[in-house]
Amino acid sequence: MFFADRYMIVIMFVNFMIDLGVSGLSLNNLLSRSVGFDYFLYIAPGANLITATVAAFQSGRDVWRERIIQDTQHYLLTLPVDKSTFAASRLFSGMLRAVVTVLPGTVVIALLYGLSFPFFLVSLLVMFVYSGAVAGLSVAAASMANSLELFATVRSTVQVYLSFFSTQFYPSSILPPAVAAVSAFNPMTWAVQSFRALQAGSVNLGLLAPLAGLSGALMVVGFMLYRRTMNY
Amino acid sequence: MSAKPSTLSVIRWLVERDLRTLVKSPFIIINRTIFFLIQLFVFAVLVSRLASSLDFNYFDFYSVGLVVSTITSIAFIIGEDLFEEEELGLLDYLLSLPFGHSLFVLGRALGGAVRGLIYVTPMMVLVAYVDGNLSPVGIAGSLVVIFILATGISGLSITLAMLIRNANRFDITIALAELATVRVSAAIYPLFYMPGVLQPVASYSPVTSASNVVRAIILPASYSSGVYDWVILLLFVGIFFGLGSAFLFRKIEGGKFE
Repeated sequence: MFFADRYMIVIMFVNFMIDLGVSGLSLNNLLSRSVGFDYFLYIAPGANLITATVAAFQSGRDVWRERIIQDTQHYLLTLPVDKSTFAASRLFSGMLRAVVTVLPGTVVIALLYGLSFPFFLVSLLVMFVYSGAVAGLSVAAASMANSLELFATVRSTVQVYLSFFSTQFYPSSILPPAVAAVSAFNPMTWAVQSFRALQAGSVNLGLLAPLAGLSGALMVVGFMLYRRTMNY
Repeated sequence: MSAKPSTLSVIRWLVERDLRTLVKSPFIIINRTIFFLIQLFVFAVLVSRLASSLDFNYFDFYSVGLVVSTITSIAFIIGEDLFEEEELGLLDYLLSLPFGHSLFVLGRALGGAVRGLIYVTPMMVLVAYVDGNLSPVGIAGSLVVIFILATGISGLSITLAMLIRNANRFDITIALAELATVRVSAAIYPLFYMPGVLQPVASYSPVTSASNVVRAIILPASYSSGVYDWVILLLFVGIFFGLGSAFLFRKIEGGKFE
């Protein structure tokens, strides 16, 4: 269904390019002299991860629309698929969809960072694992929200949390202690740091492990809440 | 037979209806307020620390731009409301009411703008306070500028809602439109620091014009604006009010809703 809608992929890529090419370059021009490093390269993976966030949240949006607007969840549950398998596959498809959406952006980042092909594959893995965290959050929100307003509120709150309480824009060394503590529980922090480690020429398992742990936990939450909506 | 309602009473009814939606939407108000405060006191403070070598105060610059970008985001919500009404079949009913469709667009655009103004008034006061210019006249002048911008953005949002018939496409397009109008402007960084090819585009952005005028009001010692800023703002409102009306007429012609 997603591949049929090429419009979405194009629009998401344009979104990414605005983030990277407009905001990234402008902030780089503004800050590079002060910070003493290439700020554009520093924030580049964050732009791609934000696009992944938007794409992965669409899986929750679909679940919400099926439950509340289209009223098709009952029909879907009559299909010859086990409910748990169905719920898990929705999360998995959300992750795959996000990775496909950010593929062009990931190629751009890999080119900017000069990554080798194996490291490019690792970067796709980072996107996949990160998307799991967002898909889990979005499906959890979709399973609990009965109004568009509440779902949209959760969506934007999650986006704010992922963007501003992480090391997407600023190094952890300048974060106030409270923000630093919150950022440690933010999948964006570990995903963006994992990307930066790839540029430095290493696959840092010390960064990938917390990302995988957080994503796993959030996916379990999403799965359980979604599964609960299927019980009558 | 009842008399046809007057133009003013129709506009008042439409604006009131959008304001009632605001009252019924406490989550959105709380969320936008928290979003604003986090951007101001986390993002702007931390980035200002990074921008220590600049010859201007980035926090002050950003704070005004943040109010303008917040009203832009909020004004886009009116299109989402219209899209939802279309999905639920309510829009057909509203369009069957005994008043013209241009009046409907005007009322909804004004409703979206008034709603946005109510959201951002406390934010504008807070920014004026932290920027050290808590003048009632300055705040009132800034709110007028913001209201004009919000009317135009509401018109743009209504146009998109009438143009796109697929919910996912609409969601993504509205997010893109919001991103483009805010980022390709002088709301969050000065034009001088933008990539050269985008500077001419951003200089004609209504968000740039609104930011310039409000900065000139709130931070008069550091910023100024010109007549062209007002011309751009008013042209923007005129164009998207016209387009919104045109696409509503097209909507009446029917078509398959996906």
